[in-house]
Amino acid sequence: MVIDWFTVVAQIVNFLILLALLKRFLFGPIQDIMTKREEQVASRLNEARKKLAEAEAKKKNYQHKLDELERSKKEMLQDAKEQAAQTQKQLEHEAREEIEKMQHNWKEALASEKEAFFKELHRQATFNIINILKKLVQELSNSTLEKETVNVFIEKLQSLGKEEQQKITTAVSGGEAQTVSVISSFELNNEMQQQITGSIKRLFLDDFKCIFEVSSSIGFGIELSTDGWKIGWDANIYLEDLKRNIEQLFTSDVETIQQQTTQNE
Amino acid sequence: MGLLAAGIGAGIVAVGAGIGIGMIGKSATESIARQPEASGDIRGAMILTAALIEGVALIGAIVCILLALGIGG
Amino acid sequence: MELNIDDIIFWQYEFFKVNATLINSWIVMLLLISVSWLITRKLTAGIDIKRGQAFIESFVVYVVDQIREETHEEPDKYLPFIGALFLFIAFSNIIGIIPGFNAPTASLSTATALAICVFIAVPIFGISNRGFSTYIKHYIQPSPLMLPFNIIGELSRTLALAIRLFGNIMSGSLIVAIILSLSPLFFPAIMQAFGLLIGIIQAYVFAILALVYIASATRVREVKQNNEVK
Repeated sequence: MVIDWFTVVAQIVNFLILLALLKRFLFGPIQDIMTKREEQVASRLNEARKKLAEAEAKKKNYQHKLDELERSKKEMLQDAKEQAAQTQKQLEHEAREEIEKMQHNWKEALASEKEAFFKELHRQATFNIINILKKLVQELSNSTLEKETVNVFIEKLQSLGKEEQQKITTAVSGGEAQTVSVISSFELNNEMQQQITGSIKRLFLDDFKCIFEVSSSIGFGIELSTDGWKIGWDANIYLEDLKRNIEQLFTSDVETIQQQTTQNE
Repeated sequence: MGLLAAGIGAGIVAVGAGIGIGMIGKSATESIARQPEASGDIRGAMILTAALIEGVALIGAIVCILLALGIGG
Repeated sequence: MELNIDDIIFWQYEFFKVNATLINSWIVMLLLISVSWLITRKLTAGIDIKRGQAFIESFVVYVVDQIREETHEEPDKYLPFIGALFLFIAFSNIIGIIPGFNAPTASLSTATALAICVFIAVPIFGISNRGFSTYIKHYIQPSPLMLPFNIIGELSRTLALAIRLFGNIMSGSLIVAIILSLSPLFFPAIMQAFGLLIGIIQAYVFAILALVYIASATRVREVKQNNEVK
């Protein structure tokens, strides 16, 4: 059990050779590669960190943009809603106005039609009634309606009070032309004219001029007019009643129709 | 005579080394039980200390072998 | 069964001789270098690491961690020496269990040679790290009286290093041989498995102790500096 010194030296040399060779073939390359890998990892980490930061910034940017978009969208929607509401209001207003206008027009048309109708009715009714009266008078009393009218007129003149007679007289004599105009709805023949003038002369005064006129504005009757005075008899008084009755009937009908239409609306 | 001395010496070396390594093992296992997270360090220290004791024991054992073989005697 | 494998001599010329220790050492060296060459031939820094590279890298990382823990210094300088020590001893012990081969570390000459390497490497590393005078001064550190004790301590620990390695491996193979003569079946296999474990542990112990000695030689200055700072 002794130490063989040659073997010791040889083993030392062997170990040194092994050390050099291992350093050359094993530890050197391994350490190189490990440092390289560490650098790579570090660089990759750096890169990743950089990318992460970039991504974060991008994300923030996009989020910002998205928020803005959302906000603008909301604003636009609000605007559109307001506009729509306004337009709706305007349209409703316009439509209502139009309807009102139409209603107004219709009412006007109705009124005018009514007026025309009543005028026509008045005319026709007057004409017919007067005709019937003429026939009735002729058949019943062997006289004409015109004659009877003149008689009635003269009677009316005679039945005037003293004061009124005086007033008319002063009015006729005080006037510049000193004329009395007799307006009638029908032609007065000479006999009738003379009758009237005679009765006027007898009642009021002698010196005057008498003018006879025919007018359709009076339904049926005779009228005497001087400056500011009018005396006469007219059948229209009776006809007016009839007209009023018919008108009332008609308007009540129209009202019910109107009510019905509003209910339908 | 040399053989007897070698035998007795080897026995005493074994007793000493056994006591020493046993104590190391005892305290090492206790430490690991107390701190399991440090088991790696404790095991390394244990092996190192045991190796140091073992070295002393082996020197004794070598002496015993030399005596038994009558080398250097 | 030869007790001393140095005595198995194959070729001799005067002082020079080739014995089983040297032959087995060369085999281990050849194995180590060829394997490392094969692995490092196609290293990659990329992601797809081969199995051999992964194994050797994990080994290197483990050694580097150990060195850093012990010395608190950059391990690049010590890595080849410590790594080579561990690899050589470990592979020598492993090759010993193969029939027909002998572990070169079972020879006291090999163990002594490795211990001498450590004995020389410690002052080399110490001086390169701290300068010559500061390193020499640490032998007379508490007082000049301690000089002989320091020197004896250095020598004895080197001797213990050599004896420990040699004793463990040699006794392991010796026990296997004795048991083999008693019962040739089964039990030698258990003892050889045990011997494998002992071999790896001894390689670890040797490398760690070498590291501790180197660290003790290089770390004194740091302690002093720390004291000065305090």
